[in-house]
Amino acid sequence: MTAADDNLDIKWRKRLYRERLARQTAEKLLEEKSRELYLLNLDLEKQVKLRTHELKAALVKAEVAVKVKAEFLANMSHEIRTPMNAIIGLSLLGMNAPIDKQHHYLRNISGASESLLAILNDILDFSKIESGNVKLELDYFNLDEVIENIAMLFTEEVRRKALTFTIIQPSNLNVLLKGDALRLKQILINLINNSAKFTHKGFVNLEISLISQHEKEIQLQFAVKDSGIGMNEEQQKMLFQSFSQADTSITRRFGGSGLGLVISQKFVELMGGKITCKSTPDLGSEFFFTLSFEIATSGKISETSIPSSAKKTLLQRLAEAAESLENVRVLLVEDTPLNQQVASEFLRNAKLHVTVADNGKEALAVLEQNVFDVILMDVQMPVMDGFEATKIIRENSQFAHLPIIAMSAGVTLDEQEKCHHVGMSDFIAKPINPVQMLEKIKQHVIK
Amino acid sequence: MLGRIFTEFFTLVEAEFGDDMLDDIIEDAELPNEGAYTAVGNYDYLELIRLVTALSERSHIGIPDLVKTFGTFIFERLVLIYPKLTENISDSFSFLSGIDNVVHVEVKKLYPNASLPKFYTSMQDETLVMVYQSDRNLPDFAEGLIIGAGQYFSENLMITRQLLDDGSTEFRITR
Repeated sequence: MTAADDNLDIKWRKRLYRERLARQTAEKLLEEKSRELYLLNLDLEKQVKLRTHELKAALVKAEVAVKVKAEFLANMSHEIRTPMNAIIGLSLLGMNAPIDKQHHYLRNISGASESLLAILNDILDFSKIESGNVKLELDYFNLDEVIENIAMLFTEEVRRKALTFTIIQPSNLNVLLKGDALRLKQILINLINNSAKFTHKGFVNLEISLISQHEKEIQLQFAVKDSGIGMNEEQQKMLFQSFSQADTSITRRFGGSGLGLVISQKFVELMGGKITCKSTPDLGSEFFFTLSFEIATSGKISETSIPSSAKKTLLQRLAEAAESLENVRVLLVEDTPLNQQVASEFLRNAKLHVTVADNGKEALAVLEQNVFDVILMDVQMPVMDGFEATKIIRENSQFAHLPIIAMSAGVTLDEQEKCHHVGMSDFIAKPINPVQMLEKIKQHVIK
Repeated sequence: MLGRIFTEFFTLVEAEFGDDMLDDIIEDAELPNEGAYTAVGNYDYLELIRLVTALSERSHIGIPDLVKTFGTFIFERLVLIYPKLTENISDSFSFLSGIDNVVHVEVKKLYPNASLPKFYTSMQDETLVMVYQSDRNLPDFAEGLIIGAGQYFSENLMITRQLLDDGSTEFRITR
């Protein structure tokens, strides 16, 4: 071997060594990398599993929610159809019945209409609660008046079923409570309604007891007790869940939206309490909750604790509301012929003078030629709606103080605020309660 | 510095100066690993400087010219190895403007430890202004890469460069 060959050999050995070293380094690095990848992969698999699990859970939840909503819709549709069926059927029967029998049909139609309204109100409340849009309206109120109102509502219903209805309340409370009286009334009515629905003989009682009273605060317990069919523990657990009456077949037998208790519970929670239920099958149930109120002393509270209006019939109350409204001149602005008829007949029966305009524009024309004491203004109308008409009327200084009372089926707070904003004096929700309508007119016309 | 740069440098030296030249400069540079570089490793960039210096001494070509040539060569090689780099890009300005935000982001995914230079780009009328900033300060290498981009997209690039006060280099490129 020559020296040059030797040199070449060394060169090749060096190159070989270099390549081998590079390969080994690369292999080591790649092994590390692949181990890293393997671990990452494991972690990824774990994460994918976890996420898949979470997504599945979310999917199930969403599906349940959709199902619940669908059931709710079906249920409500059924609940609305039940009184509708009565109204339609009874109307047809009534039209074909001899005159002396018609009163009977009309009374039942009126009853079915009231249940329909109650269901619609429940649905509205429930959707407000669901969307978190419920706000309490806090103001000072007289508890006696709330109770009087409730007594008035239930005397007839309970008498019809031959139940005794007793209200037990602390005497000489002599304070005004700060709270949402309307909601409190609604809660109590819901609970009493509920008890009355499931009680066939015996009693339904509303018991209000004083838990504590301090200078600025009072604590009251409200309890509704009945001698009804009661519930077992299983049924009690289902009570406050959305539209689940203890048994869906109960809805069929007893009617109702199935929302009453849920709504009541939410309202009580908003007020800082919680409705609790005690019940024994066949013996009866008791629903109770405790609330604290700020108080203000009042010397103005009426002494009468037994409501005198409780025993009055609707006709009597109508007559009372109509007192001193004779010959009051009303401009009724309303586009629907049937609603025109309903409102104007109530008003004419109470001996008021009624002029009807079909829309806002017509009302403006009528207003130029005649003098009125009050305007009842529908909100949604063709040609010119109630908002615009009111704005134009208010622009004329001559009508700056003319009472304009909105009548609308849009009963949200937004709508009421809008009415107030354009210059309307007050608001009546449709369907019209004739007593309320007359009282509102009286409130604004006779000062 | 990424091992890929070293192995590509070796390829260039072998192709342009022959196997023996590679052996010689490896010997001259007195490298810690005796020149056993692998593309997937990570090495001190000073080793590359030593190799280039050795090459310059043996070939009598100036270091700046060598580094620039290497930059141009490596651009060609990189787009060949990583065709994704130029995917959906049809001109050099778009490519150069995207180095920091596109190319280097991808490089970081593959090599989390890579320490990469910064290219701040902006357009002034028809001129692409690129400011190159790197701990290694290899503006010749950067210029070579820019030339490589022009060649790849078949564009005639006019490149002027200026050293800025903070040590970074500003390239003004027109076409």
